Amino acid sequence: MAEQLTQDTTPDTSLDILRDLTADSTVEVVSAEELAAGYENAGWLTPDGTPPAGITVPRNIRRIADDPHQLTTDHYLLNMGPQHPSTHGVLRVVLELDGERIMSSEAHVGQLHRGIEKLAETRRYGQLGSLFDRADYVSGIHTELALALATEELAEIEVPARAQWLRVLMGEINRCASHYLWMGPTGLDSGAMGIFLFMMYDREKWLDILEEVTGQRMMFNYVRPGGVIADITPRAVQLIDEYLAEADARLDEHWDNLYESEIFQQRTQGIGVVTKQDALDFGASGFILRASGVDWDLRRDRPYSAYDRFEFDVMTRDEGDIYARMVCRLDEVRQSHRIIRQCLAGLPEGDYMAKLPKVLRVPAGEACGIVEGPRGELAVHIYADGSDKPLRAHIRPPTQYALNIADTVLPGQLLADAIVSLGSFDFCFGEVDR
Amino acid sequence: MAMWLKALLFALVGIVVMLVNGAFIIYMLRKVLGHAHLRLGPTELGPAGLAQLIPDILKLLTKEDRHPNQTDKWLYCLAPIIVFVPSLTAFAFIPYGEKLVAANPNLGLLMMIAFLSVVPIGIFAAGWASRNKYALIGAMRSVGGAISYEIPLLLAALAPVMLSGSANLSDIVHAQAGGIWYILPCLPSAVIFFLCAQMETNQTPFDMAEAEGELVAGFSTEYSAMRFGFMYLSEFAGNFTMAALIATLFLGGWTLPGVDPATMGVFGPVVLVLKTYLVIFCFMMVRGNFSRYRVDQYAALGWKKLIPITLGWTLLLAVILKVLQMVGLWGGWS
Repeated sequence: MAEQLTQDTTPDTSLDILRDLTADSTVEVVSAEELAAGYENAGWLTPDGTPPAGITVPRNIRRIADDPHQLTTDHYLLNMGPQHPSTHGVLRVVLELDGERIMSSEAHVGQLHRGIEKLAETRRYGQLGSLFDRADYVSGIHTELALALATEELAEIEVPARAQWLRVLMGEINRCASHYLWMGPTGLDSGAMGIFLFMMYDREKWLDILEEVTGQRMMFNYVRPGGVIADITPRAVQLIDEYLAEADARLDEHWDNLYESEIFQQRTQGIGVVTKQDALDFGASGFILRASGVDWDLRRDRPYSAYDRFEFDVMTRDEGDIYARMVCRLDEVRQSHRIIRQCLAGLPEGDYMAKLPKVLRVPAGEACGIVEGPRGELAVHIYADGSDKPLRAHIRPPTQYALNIADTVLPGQLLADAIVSLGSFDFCFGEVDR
Repeated sequence: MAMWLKALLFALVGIVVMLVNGAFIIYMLRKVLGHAHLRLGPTELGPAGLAQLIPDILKLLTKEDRHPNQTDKWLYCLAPIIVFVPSLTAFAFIPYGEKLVAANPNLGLLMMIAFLSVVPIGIFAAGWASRNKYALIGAMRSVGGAISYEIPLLLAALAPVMLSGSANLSDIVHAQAGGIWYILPCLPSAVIFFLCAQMETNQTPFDMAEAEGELVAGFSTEYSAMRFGFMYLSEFAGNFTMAALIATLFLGGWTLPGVDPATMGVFGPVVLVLKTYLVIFCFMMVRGNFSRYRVDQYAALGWKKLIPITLGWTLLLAVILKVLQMVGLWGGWS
């Protein structure tokens, strides 16, 4: 087998090999024949010529060189996580490495499983919010909102206009805070320590405002079926005004600081590319979809709450790489600022909570509330049996679907890129493992 | 005084200076990075957090000296020493004043760089003996980096040698005291030397061997207690040595422009240390703000850019010097 291979392939000149070895590690999709040749070169075929069991065939592995004299090296497994400093929570990835080049990867989830969906079956509808906050702990408002939308659809509750607007307002503030908790650490993954702390400044400002309105910095339990639990305070309006005065200038500063940095561009452009087709096939949503060139945003295309009253742009990029996702999200923060300004300008007067019975009973049936969370389309699906507790509640976490793409994106990359690539999908393991 | 007593005295003073200096650089790193990041750094213990170092050192001293099961025991224990000793020894070649230099051989510059080149061997030993994959990757990167970056480092150091006509560090300082600081005539060399020094001392754009986010703690992942402390200390010592070397080669060493070197006296060491900390400050600001290179980009930068550029620039400088000498604008080596 090996001899035949040697005869079939014309050896590259040493210059070609050098060029190939030192070329940037952008992942290129190769044909099936080339892939098979690459496999044989990498010594992955068993003596009878079949791929060894248990190794998944990476779809876009980069062939290094067809040189018969190529040094064959052993592959080794690297267990990255769950305690690794850069896996953002408790992801465990088993990587098969050739030197520093990743041959295959397999993500293991479930380290943060708390049985939230099962516990939900023992909670009344009014109590579900504080439980679901713990699913996606970075953007609690959005999970609560999806839950409230589903419950309201089942129970046919009319939500007051002011509550609708407050939901949009707090949702956008939470979106900004969540985006900052991703952009900063992505800079940190690439080694830039400063940008992480600069962005934490902005996140702190937004969290202060959330705390002023909801009383909490993370697990808000603010959006309830029928409206929201508290009205916005004058002090919160003042805080928002104060911060918004400098917010856009700060975004420009972050742009100069990180996005314009040549090293950061080298580290992220053309790395971790998710093609448009892959993004659609794997059910990615939100910023991953938009960074891959799909113009789709639930807030515009299927508006919920009061989003049809607001003017904002859906930001898309065509490249699909990490840099595109970073730019996409920075632009989204800018759009969120626009929405928040409109919200403050036109907030309608009136009640912020509908009149509801103490114990909410929901007629039998099923409903699904879908919102555009910071990480993508976040849905809560409820089966109700007519009692005060759901028969079954399910959260559709956007990043669980994004996690499936990781195994396709990682092979062919270097270890250092794997960290940034993994981070760039913004996994939140609270919602992936639930 | 007997020769060996003198040597012992020098060594003792060197070690004490080094320890105090390492401690101060740790404090400075925290403060500088803190303020660069809109934080404060240590503030609680002592004036401006200065005493924070004491509990930190106590912590390192009292922690368990852990040996993971499968380590190569001898190499594991030896590695911190291999890392620590050369960075301490390289200290001896820096001239702090007219007479204040522990070792002053004719090829002092080469000796110093030679000692610093031993450090990657220790780092590799540490990574290899740890039997940890992250440590091994970090160790391999360190060796790769040493190969790629020590060539441009030495080539960049050639410019001051060419200008002064000597590889003795004291002579280089004296040559600058009589003329101008070498950072002006050979700025490209200074910049490249600065980059390579960052690589040699594992600073952020080039901190391949540690690469916190990727490799946990790189080559020192398995080390704990004072063995880790030695690694840490030698990193800061290397930091200081490299910065002092930059100050000596390109910033006039312990002299000041317009001041007669003979009258510097005790101000010589002060001036050198201030210049050194200025360079370290630059290291820290870069460290606080920039992303890290990927390992292949890092090698490509070394081989494809820095080596050709330094070779070309050094050749150009030699030609310029020769032409200037023939025209009579440059007096040559005195």
